[in-house]
Amino acid sequence: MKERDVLWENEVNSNKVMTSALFASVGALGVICILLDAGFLYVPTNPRVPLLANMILMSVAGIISIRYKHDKRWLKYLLMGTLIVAYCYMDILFTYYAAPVMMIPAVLSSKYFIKKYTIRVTVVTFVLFFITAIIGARVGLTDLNSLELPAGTVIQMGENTWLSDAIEGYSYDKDRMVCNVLMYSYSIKFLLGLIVAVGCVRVSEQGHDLVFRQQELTEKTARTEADLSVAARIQTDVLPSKFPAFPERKEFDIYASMTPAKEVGGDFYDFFLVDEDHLYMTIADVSGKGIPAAMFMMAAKNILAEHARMGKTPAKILEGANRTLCINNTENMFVTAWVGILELSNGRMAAASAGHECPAVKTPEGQFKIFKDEHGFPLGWFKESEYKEYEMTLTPGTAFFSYTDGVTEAMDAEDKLFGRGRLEAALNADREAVPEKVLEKVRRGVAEFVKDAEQFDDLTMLGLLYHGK
Amino acid sequence: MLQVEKQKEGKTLIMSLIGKLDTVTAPQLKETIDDSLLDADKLILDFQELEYTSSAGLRVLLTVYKMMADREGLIIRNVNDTIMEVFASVGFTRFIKIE
Repeated sequence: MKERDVLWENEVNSNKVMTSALFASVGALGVICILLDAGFLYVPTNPRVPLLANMILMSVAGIISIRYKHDKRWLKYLLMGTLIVAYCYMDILFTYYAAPVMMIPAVLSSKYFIKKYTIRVTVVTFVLFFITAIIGARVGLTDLNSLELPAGTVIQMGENTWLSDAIEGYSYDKDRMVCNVLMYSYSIKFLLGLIVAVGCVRVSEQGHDLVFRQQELTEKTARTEADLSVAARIQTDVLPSKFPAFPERKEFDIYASMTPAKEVGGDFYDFFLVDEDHLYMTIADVSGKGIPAAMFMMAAKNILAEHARMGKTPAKILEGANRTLCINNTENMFVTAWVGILELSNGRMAAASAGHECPAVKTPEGQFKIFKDEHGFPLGWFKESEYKEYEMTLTPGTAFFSYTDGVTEAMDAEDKLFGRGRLEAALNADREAVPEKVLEKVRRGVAEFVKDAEQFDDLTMLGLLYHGK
Repeated sequence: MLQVEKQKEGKTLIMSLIGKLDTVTAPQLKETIDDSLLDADKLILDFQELEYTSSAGLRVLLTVYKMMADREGLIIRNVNDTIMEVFASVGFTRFIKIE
């Protein structure tokens, strides 16, 4: 079914090519008519009516093809048939002058990428041109190379006389002429035509293969793209994305977003209430991008969450997750992660970092400032890694912001990095902003900075505002 | 874009990296190192003209570090400030020799 689809599309296109060739031939015949009228060309029989008939025939065939939008099975026979008939007539009329037209049908037929069709067209053309060679030898332009005049014939040349004019009126053996034409003219044409035909058959064969390979590739790409878009949905669906996330909790506001550079990415964030009083938060960045990063990300997110649900402290969550992620990690994939657990009743936050970007903190009266926390190794590097925990107390009104390096390492067209300075400036652009607005400001800051440069890395942010009891 | 210039001094292989180490170029570096490390005991990576390294670059460096752990090891030198900050952030400075 698919095979026919691609070939069919090609056939319709080939019919278009044929139609153009027909109209081009009509034009050529028109020029010939004018030249005949002007006396530049001469043929023994009066060709006016048959020439016009051929022009009309070809035009009609072309118009029919257009009328059916080139989209009918029989069109290729109609188009090729008219073309061959017209060329045959030209061969009769102009004999040796028209020799090259014998090659044209084979060349055009190869565009259909159907080997059998090319062979058929070639055979039909060669047979018909054999017949027209015979007829042409009797009624068409006299081929002087094949002309045998009786021994002792004297040709009288006048002033500005062409040889073909000079022999006008001489009698000669017509059958002999036919034999000579077939032997010395048609045979050469036939051999040359054979070379062209072999080439055309090969072209149609390879065109056929090429069309299929292209089709296969297109389908494969479409499948991959479809898979990727589902994968992307699955990936975004595993991240909490309903905001406000905890409408019934008045102690805090949380907002987060993840924008992958490719369809799928390696960044993630996560948060949930471990119990009534403890909020688990994490933001992480898997090395690399795309599918490999996305696969590792799914595992890392779940493993971290599992350890968090056991009620562990941030350092222990990282240690546990690291051990699991190190198992059979031959590709040395790794993930940098920040994990924090906020005690909602008193604002005490414990946190630990596995090589992740330093977060930013804003006290109620102050401004956002990068908080240089201590880093352990990224998860997945060394099985025995230990993580140092730190604690800070968020007074009501304190805001917290964490992000991945997609923010600070966003690049503009001149390869300049967005950097911490610009990040702080964007964070402090609006002192009253709630987390959602803060993230929006940073995203806009990054977008304005990189301008037309392509998003290079996944961009992920998490913002928290602590209100207190 | 990443260009690697190799230089051999006895059993020591010195590679100068020019350009950027990112998702595209990191696997190329890994391949180059794999191909030329067979008979070297020590690898020195010169970052004099390396502008930037992404996490994919770090992954390759870690893999190479682990590969070299049973030999004389890996040394990275002439690291610029941007890359040094990344190295410090993930703790590279704590186990890889940086000159």
